[in-house]
Amino acid sequence: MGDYAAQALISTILHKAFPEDPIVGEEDATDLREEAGAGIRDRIVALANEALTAELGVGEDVHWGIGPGHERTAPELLDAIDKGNHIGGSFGRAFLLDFEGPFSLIGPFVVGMWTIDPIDGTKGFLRGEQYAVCLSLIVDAQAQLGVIGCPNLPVDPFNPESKRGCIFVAVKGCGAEQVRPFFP
Amino acid sequence: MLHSRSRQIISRPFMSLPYAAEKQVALAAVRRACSLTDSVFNKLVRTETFTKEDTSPVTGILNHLFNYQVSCELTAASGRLRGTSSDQHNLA
Repeated sequence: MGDYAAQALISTILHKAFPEDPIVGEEDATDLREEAGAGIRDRIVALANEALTAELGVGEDVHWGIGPGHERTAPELLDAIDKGNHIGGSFGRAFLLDFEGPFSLIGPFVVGMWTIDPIDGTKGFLRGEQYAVCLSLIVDAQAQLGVIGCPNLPVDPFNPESKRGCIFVAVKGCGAEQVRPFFP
Repeated sequence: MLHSRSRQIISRPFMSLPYAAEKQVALAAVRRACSLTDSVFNKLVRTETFTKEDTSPVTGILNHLFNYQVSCELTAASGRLRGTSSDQHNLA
């Protein structure tokens, strides 16, 4: 359930911010569209909407479709999960021109391919141990950006009892860093 | 091909660093997803049971390390047991 809801959340945000970018996700919503999946579907929708509508944090932008008032319907969230059905490939990003008429050239812009593993390490998650929320941007078969969230990882690696919750981010050519814990 | 305004609005303030806009969005998405999964665990996993196939390499490595640790502990425990047994035999 957590993996469906997390993929719905991430895919919704990515699609709002970068509508042209294809997404390769781990989950698809086929089972959730069946009548038998109605119960779990409702819970997934509630979980995803709770996360989408949380107050804006530092660095977040309302244009990404997040914050209070940005609830989505069940069909919208199921479609968001299924946006992760892109088959992938060696050429995940292509340069495109962006224009709004014959004399208003704005581009060029680029389109990326994102990969989502909403819960990498399901057994670790179920045990309350280690797992990761993984997101990357791939351009022509090369990972250019990676973000890994580790909710159960101690912030201080030398102190296992320290506060838990780490996020690591890397951009190719710009190094990697551990950003502030996501729990306030 | 047309692009939405949202992409332009996001991209402009961060053009100096590569993938800066993508980084900000990705961080927000992962941060919110982590809060979501943590909430799921605290609300549901503690009280409900379900199973899912897991072929993740992360799980494989963790299982390998766990099994290795258990194996070492069993070996050490077995050695201590033999030592204890021998000591008891000597005492007898």
